[in-house]
Amino acid sequence: MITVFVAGLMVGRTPEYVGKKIRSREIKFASLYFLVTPILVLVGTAAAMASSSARASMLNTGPHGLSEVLYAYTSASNNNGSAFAGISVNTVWYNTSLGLAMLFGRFLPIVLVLGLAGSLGAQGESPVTAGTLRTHQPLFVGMLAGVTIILVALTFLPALALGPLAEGL
Amino acid sequence: MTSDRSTVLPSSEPVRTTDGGAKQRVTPPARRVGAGLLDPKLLWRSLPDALRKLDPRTLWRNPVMFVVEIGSVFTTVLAVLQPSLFAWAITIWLWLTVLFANLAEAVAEGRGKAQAATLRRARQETAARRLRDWSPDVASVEEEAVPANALQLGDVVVVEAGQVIPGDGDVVDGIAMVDESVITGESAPVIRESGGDRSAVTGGTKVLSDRIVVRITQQPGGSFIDRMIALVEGANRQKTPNEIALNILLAALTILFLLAVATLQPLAIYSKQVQAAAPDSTVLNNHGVTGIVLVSLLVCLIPTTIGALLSAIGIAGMDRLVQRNVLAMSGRAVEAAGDVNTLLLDKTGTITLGNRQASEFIPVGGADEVELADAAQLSSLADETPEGRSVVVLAKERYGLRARQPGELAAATWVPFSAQTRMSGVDLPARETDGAELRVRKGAAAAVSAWVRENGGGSSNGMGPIVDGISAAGGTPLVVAAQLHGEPARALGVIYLKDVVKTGMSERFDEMRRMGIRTVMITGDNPLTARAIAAEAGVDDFLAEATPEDKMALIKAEQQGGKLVAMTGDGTNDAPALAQADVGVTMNTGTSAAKEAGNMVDLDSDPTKLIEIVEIGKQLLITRGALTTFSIANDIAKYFAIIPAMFAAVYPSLDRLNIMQLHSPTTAILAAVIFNALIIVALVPLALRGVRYVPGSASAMLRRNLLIYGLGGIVAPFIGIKIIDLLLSMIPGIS
Repeated sequence: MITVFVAGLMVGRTPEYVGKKIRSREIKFASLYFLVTPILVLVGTAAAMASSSARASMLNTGPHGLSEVLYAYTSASNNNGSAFAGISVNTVWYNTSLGLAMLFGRFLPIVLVLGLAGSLGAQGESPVTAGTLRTHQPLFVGMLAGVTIILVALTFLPALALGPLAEGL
Repeated sequence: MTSDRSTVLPSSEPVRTTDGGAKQRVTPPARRVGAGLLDPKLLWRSLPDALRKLDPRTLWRNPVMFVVEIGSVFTTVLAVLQPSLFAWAITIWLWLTVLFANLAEAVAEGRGKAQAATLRRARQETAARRLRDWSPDVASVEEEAVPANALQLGDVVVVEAGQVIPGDGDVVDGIAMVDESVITGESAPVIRESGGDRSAVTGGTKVLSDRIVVRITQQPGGSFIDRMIALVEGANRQKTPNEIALNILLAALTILFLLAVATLQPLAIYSKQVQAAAPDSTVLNNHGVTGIVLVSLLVCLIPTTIGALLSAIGIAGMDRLVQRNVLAMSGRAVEAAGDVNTLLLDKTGTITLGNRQASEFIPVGGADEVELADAAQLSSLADETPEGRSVVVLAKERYGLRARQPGELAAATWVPFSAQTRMSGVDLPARETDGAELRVRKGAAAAVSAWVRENGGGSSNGMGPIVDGISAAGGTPLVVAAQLHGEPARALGVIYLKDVVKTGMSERFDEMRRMGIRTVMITGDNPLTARAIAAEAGVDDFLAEATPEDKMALIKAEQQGGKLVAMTGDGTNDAPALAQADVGVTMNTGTSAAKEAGNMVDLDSDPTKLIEIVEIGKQLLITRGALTTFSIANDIAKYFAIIPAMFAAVYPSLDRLNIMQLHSPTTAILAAVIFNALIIVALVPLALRGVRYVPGSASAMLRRNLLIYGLGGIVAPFIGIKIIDLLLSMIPGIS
């Protein structure tokens, strides 16, 4: 959605996707959507690193330990809530925080995407003309991938650098 | 529909230039939405304004720069508490970042202000001569002097040669030449007369000849010039829908990066404790990353480039319109112009030159071409219409026939054109040489044929198909017939009057089509003529015999399908359609009602300009998109500069990310911050001028812009940061 917006601006039209215009309302939903996961992952990890009880349950120290915590939160917020064996997650802190991450990580995006869909659905369709940007061509798909990778990389790179990157390099 | 544009009288003076830049005449081959000049002096003059904009209350409206300002305050405090060259260098460059952003906006506004100052000079205090109880029939009415700003809506004033018109209004009596150069920059005076579509006058303009009576149509303080001043100054600039959406996106990105940076601290503290052996540095110690470095990282990550230039882009877009002598009543309209799907264009003046012109003489019935040309010229000598003149011109150009000597035709009896006879001509008395009396007639085919038959002539062979052929091709046939005394009249041939399509129009329409814009020609002509001209000009569709209701219905039908419609107009009967259209451009010569209804006014009254307006609208959007892409793409290089700089001390392996081989952590961070500030300045000219716009399909445009601003945005900072780092490494004490 963000890609469509930026690409649309670049070709000099109010951005639209499948005949629906993307206005500030849609951007609001999309922005909130892409904020949810990073908030959960980064705030969770940071809070865990700051709290001494949480740090106590880390069995590995150094960058690997940090990677494990980061993974636990990423996994909890995004999909299955697994964690490395290196930390004993069965503590009050991890159970609560990972549980919350799972809850919000799952339902907030759903709510926001439904909001976005509703807002788009309420619009009339605009006709497709030669000036409309086609969203199903390699160029656009490439740009979509590029924007996604850059945005995600920019968000998580600092945290990753201290964990997996420091470990791996 | 109105066909007659305001007559621009020839003037010996050179075209005056307005303060905002060289006045550009519309030239179809100019492919490029032109450049605005950036005056270095303007930068200097805008500096006080830029400093004033540091006020957090103003800056609050720009979330990205507001965050930078907060960061700057924070580092200033830190630099005061723990002074070091590095801390102060970062602090200064952060403040410069904010200042540069403000400067961009101030420069954009400054150009408008210069224009407003010129206008304000025009709005000098003038005394008005108000007429009490004026009505068209009363010969003399009482006159009183009142200051111009005391005039009320509906007041009637009289203005004579040499006086300044005190307010916007419509001419209700008289005709005058008016110098409108204060608002249009065009030194040639224009004619304003009562009734019709040329009746509107603007306050502040000067009457050069004669005397007119004007009914004021404005509220005090609400004159056209007042609105113009407000517009060009950007005083009441409202954000456009796309600008708002982009702002939300930028705010979200700012929050995202704020988060990424804030959460980094506990991680950094942990890492530092784990690697306790790593030495403390200016960048990282046992309390985590130092505040100054954190702020630097944040400022480098958030989209400062686009955040700084966003409002400047918007203001500059309006400014580009003003430079082309177009006033947009709202920014929304400018943006909508970029989105337009359908353009409604008046045939007359926009697509064709406006007047039909003789293009060919086709003889019939054995007459030769020169004989026909001679007769045609004779019959048109007294015909002062553009069509008549064009016949004389063609006869001279192609057959070398000069206009007759003045004395030669003294005894001629001119037969003027009338709606009943539908022909005109001349009766020449007996010539001295051969005593022949000659009668020539020129007019509609049916009328002239009837005249020939009445005077004993027969129908000539082959005339019918020629006349029909010309009609079918969109031209107008005029039949010429002559009768020598005593002989039967005979038709000599046909004059082909052609509606001449402006050169380059069909290429322009092709371009429009590639951009996905449908062009519709509106004309009062019959469908046959309309089709022929539409085909020649290359428009996609036409609306023939159009009435105001037809136009309205067409606009509504297009909008029903979700399309945005732009149109130009000038007459009062255009007003409803102008109001209905998403972009309604009114000619400055138009009536007050039309000007009120549209959302843009073209001071040059050039209907072709609609095409340029669309290009400017698109350019505005593209510039924003390109700079956003550039801004985000920039972050990659900054990460490669800052992250190794921060943590390489803790985990030496991370130094491998330092692919630019920057000198030291401090120079790397400082270089990133400096690059971040300088890139704003570097892009100010681009923001003001707008990204180069080449009409073409969306995919081609996206590919081009992605390559320049996406790839360029990734590569440029790597080079820039490396260079700055090299320079910094030469300064002792930083690293």
